[in-house]
Amino acid sequence: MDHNPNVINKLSSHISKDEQFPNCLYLFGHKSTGKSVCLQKFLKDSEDWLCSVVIQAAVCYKSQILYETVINKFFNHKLSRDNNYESYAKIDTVENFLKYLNALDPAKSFLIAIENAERLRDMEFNILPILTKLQEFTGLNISCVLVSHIAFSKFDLSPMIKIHVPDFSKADLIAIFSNDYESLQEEIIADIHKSLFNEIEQNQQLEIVKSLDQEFYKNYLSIFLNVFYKVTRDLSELQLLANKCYKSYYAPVLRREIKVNDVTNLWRNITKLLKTTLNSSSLRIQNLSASEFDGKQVNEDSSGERKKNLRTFAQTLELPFFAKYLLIASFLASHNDAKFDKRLFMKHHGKERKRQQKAKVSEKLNIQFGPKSFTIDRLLAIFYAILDEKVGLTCNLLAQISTLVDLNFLTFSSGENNIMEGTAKLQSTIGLDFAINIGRVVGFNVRQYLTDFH
Amino acid sequence: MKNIENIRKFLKERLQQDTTTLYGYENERNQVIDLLARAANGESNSALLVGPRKCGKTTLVNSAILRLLQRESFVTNTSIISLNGLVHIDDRSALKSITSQMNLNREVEGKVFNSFSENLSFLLSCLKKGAKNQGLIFIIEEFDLFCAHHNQTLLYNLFDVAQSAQTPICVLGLTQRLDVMELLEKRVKSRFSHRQIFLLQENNFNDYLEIFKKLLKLPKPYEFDEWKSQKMSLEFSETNVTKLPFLRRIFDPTSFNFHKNSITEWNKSIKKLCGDEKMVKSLESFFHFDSSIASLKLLMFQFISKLSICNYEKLRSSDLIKLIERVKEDDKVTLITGLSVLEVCLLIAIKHHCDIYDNDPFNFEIIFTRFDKFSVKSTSMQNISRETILRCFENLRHLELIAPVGIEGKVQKEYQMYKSLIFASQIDDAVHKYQNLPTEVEQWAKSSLI
Ligand SMILES: Nc1ncnc2c1ncn2[C@@H]1O[C@H](COP(=O)(O)OP(=O)(O)OP(=O)(O)O)[C@@H](O)[C@H]1O
Ligand SMILES: [Mg+2]
Repeated sequence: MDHNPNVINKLSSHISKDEQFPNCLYLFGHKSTGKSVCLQKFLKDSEDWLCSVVIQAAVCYKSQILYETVINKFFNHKLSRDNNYESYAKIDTVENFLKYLNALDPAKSFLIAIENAERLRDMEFNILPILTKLQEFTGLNISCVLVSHIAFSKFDLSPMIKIHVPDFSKADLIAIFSNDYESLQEEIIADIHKSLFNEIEQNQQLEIVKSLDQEFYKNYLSIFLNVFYKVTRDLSELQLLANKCYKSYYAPVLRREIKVNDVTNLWRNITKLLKTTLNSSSLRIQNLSASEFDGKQVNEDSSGERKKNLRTFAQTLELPFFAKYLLIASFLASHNDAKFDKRLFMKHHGKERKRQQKAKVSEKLNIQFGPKSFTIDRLLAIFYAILDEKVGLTCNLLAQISTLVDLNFLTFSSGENNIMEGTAKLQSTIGLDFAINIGRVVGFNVRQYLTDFH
Repeated sequence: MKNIENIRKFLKERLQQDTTTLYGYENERNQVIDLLARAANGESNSALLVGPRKCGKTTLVNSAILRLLQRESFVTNTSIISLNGLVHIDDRSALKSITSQMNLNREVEGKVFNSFSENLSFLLSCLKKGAKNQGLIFIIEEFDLFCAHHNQTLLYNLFDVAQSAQTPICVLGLTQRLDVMELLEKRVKSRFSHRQIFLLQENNFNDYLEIFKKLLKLPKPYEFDEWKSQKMSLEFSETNVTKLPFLRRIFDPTSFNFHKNSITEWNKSIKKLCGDEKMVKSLESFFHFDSSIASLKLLMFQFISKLSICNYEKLRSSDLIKLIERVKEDDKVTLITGLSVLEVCLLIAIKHHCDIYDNDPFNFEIIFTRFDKFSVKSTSMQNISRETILRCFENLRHLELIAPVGIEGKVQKEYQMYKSLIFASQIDDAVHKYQNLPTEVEQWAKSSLI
């Protein structure tokens, strides 16, 4: 991955050979902006005059690990079979830690870098303040670089020099991703060799691959970023996705359906796919591989696409008829106040008082505050109320409830083992859109039964 | 070494290592010198030096001690023991450190003490036997932290000895807690002299600018000579006084060799630099932003680091102006301008929510609903999956721009309530600075009406 020369210059102008170091530096920026890469590069470049150690704060579940890692490194003590994997010394207090630092050669210079430094806030109270004052405590030319992704004010520390690692612009990203070009080309060629096409077809495709030049790839990247850059600026995430979707960009070219230089059609073809990818699921757990899209007719590009996906899922969900009603009943139980049950479900519930239309209602809805738990009794009561048929098979229904729990449509909030006693409490985990769609399948209007919409 | 490299090295070293030169606080320093000097005469006393973080407490004490070390009577008649609340986290470790700082490890070996005070008085009696009338000075850094030790035993015993004047000891505590007296237990408080020295002096910009110049200029040849004589007097004292931490790395300008001409030339360039009105204005704005000398030194360290070895041999006022602008920037705003447009949109939704509901907590569902209303009418932010939006929302939490309220994990993550940790003005600021933000988003940031 690329490193930012600006950041490295800044580091090296503050931590330079033969000069006194600042007490402490704060190196911050969003994830995958290359903070660690810059730091590593800098430390590598200066290793012949600077003794440095990089600590992963996440690994230091107790402070002893931090102290000993630093001291081992500074005394050039490597854990091995010969020393029984024991540290240079047992160091479990700050006092001891400073004692060993004080024994170091004062003619040398030292640097301690802490990755995920924000985690140190959860350790002993004195660690961070001491790390920021090591010069005062040891008299060495020593500095500490705190690396983190949060604002400095989140640490309760007195001011120190800050170095910000900026985020990548679109142009930066295109430049960085273009480094992958060669390896991507090789991958395409390897794929063709592995394919089931006959030799003539393979050779023809290989010929086309030659015409997929850097520009072609950059063009793709720019289209790709137009869709995804607004959602995330995380380099590693974008890189993963970009590589995944690339295949669908060049595939029609290999199939000779679109010409290499037919920019408009290439754009049209890929944009639809990208948009579907964007709203089909979360970016990171992107498990629809690009090849699944490849060649398939992509859905019409409509504004209700997100809802449409949900609808198809609800319609194709294979559940017994009663289970679907149970699902709806559980949703209602979770999102309505119990005191309204009567009014909503009893056929003859007496006159409804005309409530004052609350001004807030339109903004603050019950469903926004999450599901509340309910007893099985209440669930069954609602279930019977919304179902017009008479069913008596409570036992079978209980079995279906456990199926819904297994499928994660319901969860226990308490009393998991007491289903039969009736003390168990459940919660619905499905969202409003999904409930509405299930309702549609069985012909039941969910909205009508939600107090939110009265 | 090239001249300019040498200058850069000198300036940095003075900024970082000169821990004994104090600006201002003349009176306070004299009070401390007086207090410590009396210990050499066999008087007991106690005092607290109180001032906000990084205001120069340690520097003041160092400078006072440095002055005293030049008096032979002080050097022969006192021992200094330094303790620090960050290091000595309980009284046992403090006592151990006292023992070893007094070189009494061998004497206590194998001895069993029934109480803390018995142990301490044994140490003091050893001292009596040994030298003539040794006065003992305790410099206690982060004094307030010792107040949290069990029963405040150490403080109680030290103040008790000081008050009863059995052995001449002087206790000087340093703390950033202005309310430190309220932390003392009654029996401890009653033994304390109640002498507090406050470091609350406000700088004025003229003094500040003078310090700025002084720290950029090279000392004149005669000043180098002064340092030299001071250094010699210290070498003589080193054999007698306990090795204090700050004495281990005392700044030594005599190790630098500057040609007379290069000193004049450099100082001339600094004079010219400080004549730049724009720069002085900018420095004044920084002074109003943060007037502490500690922050000035940080700024100057960064400024001097720009003195690049191969390109330019002078400090440039434009560099300082740029630097000041950067240092004044708000980290949170900087971080927000590095977020994706979607994440900025969620922050805007949060801003509107907090505005309308008077900072009521919110959860993902609430923010999502608000965002969704905007998104369906927008041209650039449509069709983003709920999961993706949830992930962005969680990223805001990861960045500590929002924080959960109440117990976590009781509800599904969409319903977990949060509070905002940023001000509306910070979001507005970031929206303003954000590069290529779609106009519709910018407009939505201004008004919650869509
Ligand atoms: N009046 C001053 N004269 C000279 N230098 C000062 C002065 N005030 C602050 N400084 C500088 O600010 C920095 C912090 O000073 P110092 O460590 O003495 O403060 P402190 O009050 O002891 O801090 P802490 O609260 O961390 O103990 C040092 O670099 C010091 O040189
Ligand atoms: Mg201090």
